[in-house]
Amino acid sequence: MGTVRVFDLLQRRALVTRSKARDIGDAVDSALEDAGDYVTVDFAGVDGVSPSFVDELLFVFEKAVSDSGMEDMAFVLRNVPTRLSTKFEAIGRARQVKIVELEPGVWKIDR
Amino acid sequence: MRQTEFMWPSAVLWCSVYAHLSRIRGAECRLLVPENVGVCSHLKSVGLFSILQNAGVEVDDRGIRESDSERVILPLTVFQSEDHVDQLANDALDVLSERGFASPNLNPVVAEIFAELAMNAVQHSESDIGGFGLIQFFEFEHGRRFVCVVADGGIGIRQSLEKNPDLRDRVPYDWVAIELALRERVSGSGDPLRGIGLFGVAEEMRVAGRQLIIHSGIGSLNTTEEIETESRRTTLFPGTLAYASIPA
Repeated sequence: MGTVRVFDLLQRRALVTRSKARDIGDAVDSALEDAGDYVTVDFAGVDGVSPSFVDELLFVFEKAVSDSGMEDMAFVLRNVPTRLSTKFEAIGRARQVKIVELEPGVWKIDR
Repeated sequence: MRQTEFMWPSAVLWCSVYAHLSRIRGAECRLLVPENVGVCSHLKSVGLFSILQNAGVEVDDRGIRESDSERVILPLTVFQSEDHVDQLANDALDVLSERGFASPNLNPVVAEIFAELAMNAVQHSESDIGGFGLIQFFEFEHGRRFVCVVADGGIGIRQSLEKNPDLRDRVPYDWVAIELALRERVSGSGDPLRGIGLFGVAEEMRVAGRQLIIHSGIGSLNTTEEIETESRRTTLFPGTLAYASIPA
């Protein structure tokens, strides 16, 4: 199962810019190669994520799946440091993906 | 400012933006500092004097020492780029964590609000003087709160939205433009996938006791949980100023 450990890659406790989401693009590409049913993105060590970061992250996922030639892939975000609030649901709607909070800190993203 | 007895963070940013705009237009500029030593020390601590002096503004602060700056989370800072905003937000989060003014889950909210407002200034303001940010902690009789302010000397929200042909006819006034900018996926860029930052800030601020005020051009908008949103015509601000107040 492919796992992306965000804090190890970015060394940032607050993820607030789109560019930081793009910075993990290569790691997402690599994780897709090892993925089973889904790719895990682990936010352990991260204290905050902004809407702009999450919006760009969804674009990174979409591009990685598209570039890999796969039809689709689910992403499971673990240790997300915030609840799935209205603003994040709105981001999912615009990107035409379904975001579900499976339990506190765990979001599943798929089409 | 010789008669000034108190200065709220948004006024610190007013002062900074006006002085920087004056300097960039070639005018000589001098700040007459408050006669009240306590106020003077406070303004020195938040970084107003040094940032003005660096811009070539004459500030005679002789004999004034910085006061206890424990409650200054992020001193008045100029930023120009997304990377700089990212660094400032993370620095602020570190300071908030170290000082423990609030519960740990509130700290990232403060950093995120600052970052989204600052990022908006970087991406849309076209400000020749950059953006300015300041985060402070206050303790009053009726409560403790964080105040986060961001300002620029740029084109303002209305002119930014007018860059999107689909919005040009929908923003006749500054106050209308501010209301529109807080809605989901409204952006001057014309990209249907952008316009999430200010919407997210507005959503985050609709929590008990929080307040968001945005002042751009001659319009202002006040958002709280109690009054929802109230927009109106007001005094000109030559750019955009955002004020967020969050109970600790």
